[in-house]
Order: sequence, then structure tokens, then C-alpha cells
Amino acid sequence: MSSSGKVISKLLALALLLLYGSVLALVLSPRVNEEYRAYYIDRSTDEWRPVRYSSTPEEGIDFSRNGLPSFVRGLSGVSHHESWGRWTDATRRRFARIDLAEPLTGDVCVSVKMFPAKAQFGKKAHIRIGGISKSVVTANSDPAWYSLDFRLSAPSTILEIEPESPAVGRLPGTWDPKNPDSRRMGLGLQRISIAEGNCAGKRFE
Amino acid sequence: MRAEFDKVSNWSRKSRTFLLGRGYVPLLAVVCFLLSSLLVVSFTRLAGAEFGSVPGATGERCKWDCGWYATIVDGGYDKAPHAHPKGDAANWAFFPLFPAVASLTKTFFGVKTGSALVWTSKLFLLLSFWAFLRLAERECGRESLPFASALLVFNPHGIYGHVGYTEPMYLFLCSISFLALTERRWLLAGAATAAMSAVRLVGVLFLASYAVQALRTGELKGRAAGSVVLGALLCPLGLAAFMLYLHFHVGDALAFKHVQVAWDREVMNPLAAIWNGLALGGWDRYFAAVAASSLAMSAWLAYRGKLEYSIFLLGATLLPLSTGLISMPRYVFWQVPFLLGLTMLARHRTGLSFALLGFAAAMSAFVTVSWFAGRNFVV
Repeated sequence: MSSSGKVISKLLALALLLLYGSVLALVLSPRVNEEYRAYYIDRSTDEWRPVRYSSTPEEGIDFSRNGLPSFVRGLSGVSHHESWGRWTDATRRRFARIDLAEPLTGDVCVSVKMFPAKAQFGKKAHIRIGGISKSVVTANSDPAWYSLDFRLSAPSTILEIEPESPAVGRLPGTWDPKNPDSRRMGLGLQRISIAEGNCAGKRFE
Repeated sequence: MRAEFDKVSNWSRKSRTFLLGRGYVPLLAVVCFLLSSLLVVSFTRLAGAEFGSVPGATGERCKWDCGWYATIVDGGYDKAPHAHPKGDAANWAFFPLFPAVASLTKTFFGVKTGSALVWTSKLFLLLSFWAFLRLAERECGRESLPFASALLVFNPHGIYGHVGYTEPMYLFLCSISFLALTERRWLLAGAATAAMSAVRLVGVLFLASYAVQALRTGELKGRAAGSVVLGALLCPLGLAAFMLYLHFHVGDALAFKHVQVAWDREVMNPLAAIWNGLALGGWDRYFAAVAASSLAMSAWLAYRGKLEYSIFLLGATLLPLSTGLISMPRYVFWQVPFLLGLTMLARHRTGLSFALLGFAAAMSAFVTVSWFAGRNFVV
């Protein structure tokens, strides 16, 4: 190779290295919205542009219905819809995350109707909004309402529910290749209601 | 002046030898192409007689993946996902070089999109037969050509060469890459791989074969070191360009990977995929057996000292296998190292040659009929 050929070759190599470095940087910083990120990149939800139904925060989210209410922007960390509701699934995300369309502020009462998976019996479930975390103990397999009061000093649009002991539902020795369910289930979510004020005197059904 | 003339003359002779090999290889490629086309046409007619609704016009053969490529030719890459019942599928999963060439075919010949895609795949089928036979001649000797030719004609999943899929273009570029590599034409190998990485993701894995050959020949330290390094750097260029485009078009450089979720393809343990397939039975068992054969072939090639082929086949099998068994036979039976390995295995074994070709011919006919009958296991 002639000396000019060597120079061109080195310049080309340098340009290619710069190009690959740039592409790598772009891979690490996608310019996508939260919905795209949750569904395609993080895989924290299997909902893509879900069906919408009309409901207020007080009427709540009915997980036994397919889709999401209009006041919820996104849902992640939960498994697919089933006739009774949805499991939290730690293979998707350590906690269930609900992104609300409008921020919550001041006194808020959060009520969750849920039941624990077997590994979660007697364990804590943590419920978080705006940096405040509260816990309840999920006793047994019967669905029950758990109500918690939050006093939010700053607006927040994110509600998280984290089971203490999510686990793979299927038992060792019962593996069936036709049913490769590898979900790490913690809590069976049926309803969530979010009301202004504190929970005293409020009834949920 | 004389030296310059000799240099040009020598380069011209080498290029001619690279392109044509011995005169009979291009002729053999044409014969194989005609026989392969005859086979597909014959079984298409049989399928039509039995099942009806078999495509008449060339463009009507364009379905499934070809349909996705048609969306790229007609409207470019999607801005947002829209297809499938969930609305989560987009054409980002389909690499750009094949539809780009089909666009040129469409413009040049003024044909419909489906026809342009089918014609492009058939053009590359002919080229891929030539390139593969050149490689087989070089690696296995002239005596291997009858078996290699028969394998191309009776490729069990040869239907994809006639229906607007990328397989022929991929086989062509992969054969050229290996051919260039064996002849230590580093820049050509790098350029062919750059193109291959714009056809299918696995193309970029050729970099591993390139590295093996560069280390083995010791040219990384010699006078050709500059060409070796530049050739290596060229290998991922097609993929990088596509990723760059996707970033500015969609906002996600890895959109081609992320959108696989729309086809229920998620990353899993490839060995578990084989095990599950074998346990399930039916077509899953066949897909798993083909994937396992490919891994076994990779091991055998390594044992025979053909590490550059072995490592590529290993990666090109494990990568799609890590997202499930679907389409595995299509991926495996269009891999240069797999076809070359079969040729090496059968070279001096007449019984094995007949057994392999018997299986291949029967499967080829069955898959062709199934394709035109609309059975989706051949997708």
C-alpha cells in the first residue's frame, strides 16, 4: 500500500470508529416516550395502547376489566389480564407501577383490593406515592381491601405497589414444557381506588 | 510502466479467477437455478391441482415476510407501530438492503412491488448458487460439486429463494465473504460483510470468522495489517447505518430488536428452546432437531479445523434460537457453513449423499406444497 493509501486507510478507520462510537451512544440514549420504553425496551408491561374505559380515580381501576381507565396513563410490572384481575409480576418489574394522568397532592386515601400469592402469605406489601412508603401485611389467599392514608407535600403521578416475596408460581417437580409459566407473582390485584381526603369513614366494595 | 502494466494485468487475472473460477461453475449455477425453478413451478402446479388458490402471477407469491418488505419498498420504514391485532408490529424488524435493491428493480423494470421483490430474490438465487459453488469448489474440491449442486437444487427450504425473501441475497453475500476470506482479500470480505449486516442481523457475526482467519494467517502483523484492520472495521457498517437511521426515524436504534415482541419473540435460553421443542413434538420437534443439527455441524467443523465456519454457524444458530424455534429450518438451511459442512461430510460417502439428498428432495417438495397451500409452519 502506498503512503497516501495508508493515510486514507487510517482516516477511514478513524471515521468508522467514530461512527460506531456514536451509534453505541445512541443505543444507550433512545428518544422514545414512556409508553414505548415500558412496552418495547423495559418489557415492564404487555399492554400496548390498551382499551380505555371511563372511570374516575374514586371509582378506581378494575383489574378484572380488560384495558385501563381514562385517568391512568400507563401500567407496568403486572402480568396479563385475567377474568379476576392481574398478578404483579417481578420478572417484568420489581413493583407494579401505575402512571396517573393527573398528579395527586394533599391528603389522599389509597385502597387496594388484593390477595397474596402463596409465597407472599403473611408478608408485607409496600405502597408508595411521591416518596412516601407505607406497608400492609397480606394475610391469606382471600381478597381483601387494604386502605392507607397519604399526605403528599408535592404533586406525584406515580403509584407503586411492591410485594415483599414474589416467586415463581409453579412448583419444582411439576414443570410442564407446554405451560412454561415463569412469572414471579406476588399480589393478585383486583381493584384500586384513589380518593381525596383520608380513609376514615370511606367504604369500598 | 511495464511494472504497472504487469500489476494491472495480474489484478485483472486474479479478479477474473475470483469471479468465474473455472468456466463450468457459472454454467453449473445456471443449470441449478433452472432446475430449482422447475422444481418450484412443478410443485406449485401440483399444489394448485390439490388445494386450488395457488398464485398465478409472480407478484402473488409475495406473502408473509415478503409482504413486510413490500411495505418498505412502497412507503419506507414505519414511523410508529400499527400492525397485528395489538397494533404493536412495525416493519423495523426487516433489514434494508434487500428492499432497497428491490426498489431499484421496481423502478428499473416498472413492475409491481411484489414482482420486484420476487425477481430480486430470484436474481440473487442465481448469484448465490454461483458464489456457493465457487466456495465449495475451493474448499472441498471439484469432486464435491455434483453433491453441492444437488443440495442447492433440493434444499429442503429452497422455496424461500423464489418468493421474495432475503435468503438468496444473504447466501450470496455470505459465500462472497467466506470466499474473500479464504483468498485473504480482506477489504472485499469486509465490504461483503458490511452489505450482509444490512440484510440480516446475523451477518455481523462474520466478524468473528474474520478475526479467526486474520489471527490464523498472521497478516495482522504483516504488511497487509492496514487492510486487515480496515476490512474488520467495515464488517458492521451496514448494521450501524441501519441503527443510525432507526434512531433518527423512530428514536430507538435497537427498534429492529425491540419490535420482535410483536411476533412474541423474547430472549430465552437457546438450549432450553431446543429441549422444549424436542419435548413438545410435532413441528417444534423438527425445528429443534434442525437447530441441534446445526450446533452439531458447528462442533464437527471445529473438529475438522474449520474454525472460521464453525464459529459463524454457532453464532448464526444461537442468535435466532435465543428468541424461539420459529423459522429455524429456514435460517439453518441457508447458512453457508451448514451447506458446506454437509458437502464436506458427503464428499466421499455415497450412501450418506443419497440419504441426505433423498431427505432434502422429499422435504423440499413437501415444504413447497405447504407454502403454496398456506401452511404457516413454513413462514
